[in-house]
Formats: sequence, C-alpha cells, structure tokens
Amino acid sequence: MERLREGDFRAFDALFGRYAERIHRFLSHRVGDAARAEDLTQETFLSVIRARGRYVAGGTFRQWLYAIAANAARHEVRARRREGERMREMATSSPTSGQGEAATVHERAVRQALALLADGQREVILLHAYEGMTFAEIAQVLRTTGVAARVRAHRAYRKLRELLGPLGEEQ
Amino acid sequence: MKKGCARALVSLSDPGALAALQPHLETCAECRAIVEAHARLPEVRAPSLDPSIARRIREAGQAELAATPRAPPWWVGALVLCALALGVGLAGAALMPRGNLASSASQIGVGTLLVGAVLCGCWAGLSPGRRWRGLALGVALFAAAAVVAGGSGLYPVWAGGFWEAGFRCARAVVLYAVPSSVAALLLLRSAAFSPVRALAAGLGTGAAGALALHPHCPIGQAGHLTVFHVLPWLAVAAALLLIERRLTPRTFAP
Repeated sequence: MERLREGDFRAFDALFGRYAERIHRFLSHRVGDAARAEDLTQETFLSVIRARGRYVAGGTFRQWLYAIAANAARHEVRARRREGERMREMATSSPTSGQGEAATVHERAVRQALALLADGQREVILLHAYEGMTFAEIAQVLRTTGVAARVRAHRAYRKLRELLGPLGEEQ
Repeated sequence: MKKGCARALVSLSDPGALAALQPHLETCAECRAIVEAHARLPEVRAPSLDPSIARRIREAGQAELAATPRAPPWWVGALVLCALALGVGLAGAALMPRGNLASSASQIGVGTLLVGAVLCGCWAGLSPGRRWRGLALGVALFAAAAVVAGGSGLYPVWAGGFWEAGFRCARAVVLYAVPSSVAALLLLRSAAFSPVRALAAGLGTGAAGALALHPHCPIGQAGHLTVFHVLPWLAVAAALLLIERRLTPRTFAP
C-alpha cells in the first residue's frame, strides 16, 4: 500500500491480483446482481486509488478494502431503493446472481434466505462465512465494535435458519 | 448471549473447536440452529470475475493511477478547510463593527471555544479516524452553551424588535458559514457518506459563522442568542448533512 501511495503500477497490480476475485464474490453476494457487482468491483478499486491518501499507515489493507466495498454496496442499495427497485425481489426472482439455471434447489433456497435478511445482517454473514473474517476484523470493516458484530451475526444466523426452514420445504 | 453461545459463534468455521462444544450444542437449540445455518452457506457457489472484465478494471485502475501519480494525505484537505473556516470567521469578527458589551474575559472565553469548535469540527469531518468525532461534537455543544450562557451584550432587545434584529444575526451566521461549507461539501466527496462526519464538518463550518457574529452582536438576551445565533449554526450543520447525503461521493473510502 505504501508503494501504491507513491503511484507504483506494480503495487496496484499485485493488490488487484490478490483481492479482485474475493471483492467481486463479496459484492455479488451483497447486491445479488453479477453485472452490478462487476461495476462495483471497478468502483472499489478506483476508490482505492483515488482515496489512497486516506489510508492510515499501520492499518490492515484487507479491512480497508472491504470497508470500501461495503460502502459501495450500501450506496448502490440506497440508490436502488430510491428508484423504487427492491433488492429482495431481484435477488429472489432473477437468476443473474451467479449460476442461473444451473443453481441447485438448495443453493437457490440459501440465496433467497440471504436476500431476505436485513442489509446489515447479510453483510456480517458474508464477511464471516464467505470471507473468513473474525468478528474483530468485521468490526473494523463495518466501523462498529466486536461485540456488536457478534450480536448482529448471532441474530443473522438465527434468522437465516428460520428462513431456511420454510424455503427448504417449498423446494 | 450466553458464554457457551458466544464460543459456538466464534467456533463456527473451526470443526475441531465446534466438536469440543458438543455438550453445549446438545442442550442449546439456538446454537444448533446457528450451526445448521452456517453449514448451509457453502451451498451457494461463488461467481467468478470474467477475465475480460478483470482486464478492463485493471486498465481503468492503471489509467487512474497514471492521471494522479501522487496522492496528498487526507490531512492536507483538513488543514485547508480549517484554515478557510477559521480565516472567514476571524475576518468577519474583525471586519464587522464591535457591539458586544460583555466583559473581555467572557468574550475571549466564548471566542476561544468557538475557535475550538471550528477546528475540531473541520478536522473531524475529514479525518478517516473516529476519535475526533466525539471531541468535535462535545466542543460544539459546549461552545453553543457558552454562547447562550456567556451573553453577548447588555441590551435585552435591539431596536427593530426581536425578529428584525434576530434575522440580521441569523443571516450573518449563515453567510459567514457558506464559503467553508461549500469547501466542506467538495472535500467530503473524497470519502463515503458518513452522517457523523458530515455533521461534525457542518458544526465546524457553522461555528465559523457564530465566531464572526460573536463580537458584533449587542443583544444579550438568551432567547435571541439561542434562536438567532445557535439555531442558524445548527441549521448550517443540518443543511450540510442533508446535501452531502444526496451527493454521489468520488470514492467509497471510510
């Protein structure tokens, strides 16, 4: 990150190579739309470059990067709500969120259950279950405390289990 | 959350640690539900980034980097905003005729708090860290209370009545806050929208207006000071928050 601050192209390439796939995966799950996730991945990495002067030395780059991606996704969700488009409807009705027709019954059920969670709950589950972050790291990304992140995750998993029951039976 | 439940939550990705918690899981239905939900998540396959899209993003990043090879640290913008807000506030205080008849000690005390509110607010508004925000809000609150409690003069009501005289004061607060508020809006776009940060910046730039007005106003009535000195200051902060919320940021950095 120090080299990127100085405008080093290779430093950007290295960071992009290491994190692009993961950020795209996180954003795909988060916004439920593969095409929008690609645009947001670009926004995230452009933000890294434009805001590299805001990176505080000594911080963890991964958490800073995910914080940017989470902010970009939140902005997108807010913008869509303003336009009257419901994220949940899209995520539950459209197969664009990844593998479309190839998605298994179980996969669709989990995807629908995730889409039905509140934004904050979905964010915590994605960072914990898919990105393998600890609650301390999640707290850094979401600018909250470790205890708050743990409580939110606890509620989110409980809600997810409740949702997976009926959704699983419907399939 | 019980201790065992917290441990189960932390151990979700660690089968060994989860096995050790089996006695707790057998008795706790809530934790079993959480473990079951977590186990279902890998069923969602991860979409992969198309190589052509990855190339496009990489090229866009390189073009952006070539366009801005040097990135000034965040505190340069914060210093500019502090200097602008303080400069406008002090210039207003110096240029407008002096009418405040309160004691020098009271004026200096309130003025110092207002300078503190300007600096802390502008700095906290642009800082990526969180530690300045509480201080900025606290100093602004304290300075606002001091403006009202300290009084700004001896006349209970100026000629022209409560509203007419008050309107002139409110207008002065807003006018002297405008230059730094516009600058704050431009600078805040360098990060994702944060209500607390926008509010801190608004309190800082609004304080510049209150600072400009403070030595000028001869009306010491608490109602006047609250309605026409402090409320316009808070209105500047609220307006900045609402406008900033509507703007699309240049970056999504915290």
